[in-house]
Amino acid sequence: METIISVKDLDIKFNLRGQILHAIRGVSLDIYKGESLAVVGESGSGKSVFFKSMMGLLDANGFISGGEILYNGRDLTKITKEKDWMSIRGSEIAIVMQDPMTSLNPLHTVGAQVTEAVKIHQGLRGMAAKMAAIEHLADVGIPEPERRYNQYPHEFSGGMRQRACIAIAIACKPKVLICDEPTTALDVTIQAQILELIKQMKRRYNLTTIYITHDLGVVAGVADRVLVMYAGDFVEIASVEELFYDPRHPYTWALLSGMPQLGVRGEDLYSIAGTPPNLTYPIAGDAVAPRNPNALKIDFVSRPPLFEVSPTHKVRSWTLDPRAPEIPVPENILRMRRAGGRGL
Amino acid sequence: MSEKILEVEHLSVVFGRGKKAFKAVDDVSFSLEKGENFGIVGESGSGKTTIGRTIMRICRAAEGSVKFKGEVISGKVSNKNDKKLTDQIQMIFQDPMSSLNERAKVGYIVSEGLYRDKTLSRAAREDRAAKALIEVGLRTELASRFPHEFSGGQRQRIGIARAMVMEPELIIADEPISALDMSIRAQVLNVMNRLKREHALTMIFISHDLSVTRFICDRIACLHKGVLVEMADTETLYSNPLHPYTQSLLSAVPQPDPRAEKKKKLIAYDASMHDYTVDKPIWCEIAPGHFVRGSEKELEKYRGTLL
Repeated sequence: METIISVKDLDIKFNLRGQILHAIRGVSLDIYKGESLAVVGESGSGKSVFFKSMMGLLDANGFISGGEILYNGRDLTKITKEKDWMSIRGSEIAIVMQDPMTSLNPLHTVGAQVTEAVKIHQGLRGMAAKMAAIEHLADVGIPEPERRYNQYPHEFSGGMRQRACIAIAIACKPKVLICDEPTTALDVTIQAQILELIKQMKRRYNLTTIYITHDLGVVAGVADRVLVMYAGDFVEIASVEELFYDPRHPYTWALLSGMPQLGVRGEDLYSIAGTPPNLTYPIAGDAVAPRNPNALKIDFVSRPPLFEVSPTHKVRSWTLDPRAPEIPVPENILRMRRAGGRGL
Repeated sequence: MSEKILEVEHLSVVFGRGKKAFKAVDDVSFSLEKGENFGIVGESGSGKTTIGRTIMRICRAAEGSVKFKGEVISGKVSNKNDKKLTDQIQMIFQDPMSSLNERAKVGYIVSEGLYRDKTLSRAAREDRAAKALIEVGLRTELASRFPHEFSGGQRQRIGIARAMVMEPELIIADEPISALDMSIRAQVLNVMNRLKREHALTMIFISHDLSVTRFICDRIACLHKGVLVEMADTETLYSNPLHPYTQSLLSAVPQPDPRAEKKKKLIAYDASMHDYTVDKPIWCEIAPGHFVRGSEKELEKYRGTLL
């Protein structure tokens, strides 16, 4: 498969009034053309930071301190001028943000905001730009696009606003679409519709889609490949089937077992003890170890390498080392494997 | 038959008046037994929060009544009753980031409701606040901290402690976990589950997430545009949803099973599919404890699928 984005040993740090927060800790990843990649992790695990760095959207106190991000061979970490980012942002990589209420400008009509993208990225002017914008609104399933064109974001419902955001992203004609928690602010029925729409757009425009989410149910429906992040590091990378039917990392087990879908009424749900580590201090060994009841001694000393389970499945945990003791797979995970395909 | 703690009868809530009047809740009836966990599900704007707020006596009932332990609480109540009801019905809010007073210490936030009871000494207040904090799994030393020092899950537990300290008989939880991160959802759900078990709490759980209500509720009512369309105990509703709206909500719940998700067909619900011009819909108990709304013809069809 052809690689579209290749990240090598990326380090991202934030300067918090003199304290350095190590947000992304030396990660490497190849993103393939046309794939649908989902990234899951708790808040603060660095999933948004990692992908925002590909668009030069880090906060002012954030900086890339090492490694490279190759987009079609061009190193994005070398870009320093805001002007140079314009050739990447939107036209190559576009993003749909979490909350459509805050990512749309309340002072301009929705139509004007779509037209802006059309003008910049498609080079159209005047009536032609307006017609193209209306077409984009219709394309994302907004009924009566001519009337909607002149309305303001507050006149749109949450789902319609998110559709408008997708229309803006699509109007830039990107190759890669990053969806940063696209449905967290929406309810289930609308969520299902928006996810369906993104899938449609992916097929129609041959996009590479990246979903950043903390809902594993969403992941199962949209992803080809899943990346589990913890404390600025990748702990498990697997195809979607491997992740749900054969997860290997204790942290992935914990995330999966905590889903209410797997719970039994009246009994306690599995919940991960403790909190994520403070990334302003160096992390010794495996970052997950303090929260892992089965942690080994070596987990506190040395960072585990990425063990390869299959060509598509990599896990960063010492439990995969042949010398490590066997840890039984939690019952919940086994239940999910047995249910495979029939639903829970 | 155990004690009925809450009875909602033909409740309607109207916002605005005259031409602008909007009926947010339309002829809703249900009742709760002591110790029951009742879920209200529906999409945004369906009126689930309004029902909760009417029971809290924040919204006024336009028609119908709400009875709490046999007494009507919608409309005028005596001063004495008013205080009692405020103590006995408590609420847990959606967003723990905005529902806690940023300028007050946790100890005060939790014990604030107790200040009205003048007979309670300061020590007794602190004691009860400490007990409530322990109940939700927080250390009592944390009482002297401010809300911003806590994570989302801890803050939501403070919100629960604030409700629990009043020793309520009924808790209304309005989307208590929708704003939380996945790893702390389980924590908060477990706390709520435990409190319900240990205190025989009656709870109304308002949510749009059917995977969560399935886990925590005994009985679920499905609300669409202010109208109840189906109500049944949890297992019946999930295994045998009759109303097309319930089916569409259920089909939208994401499953953590990629193969099942690939095969999944979304069921879209279109209210115009019902032809109610001649055959008026009624709220009917189609099987013991299983209520559904439909016209005679539809009910006939539903009965067919039940057999």
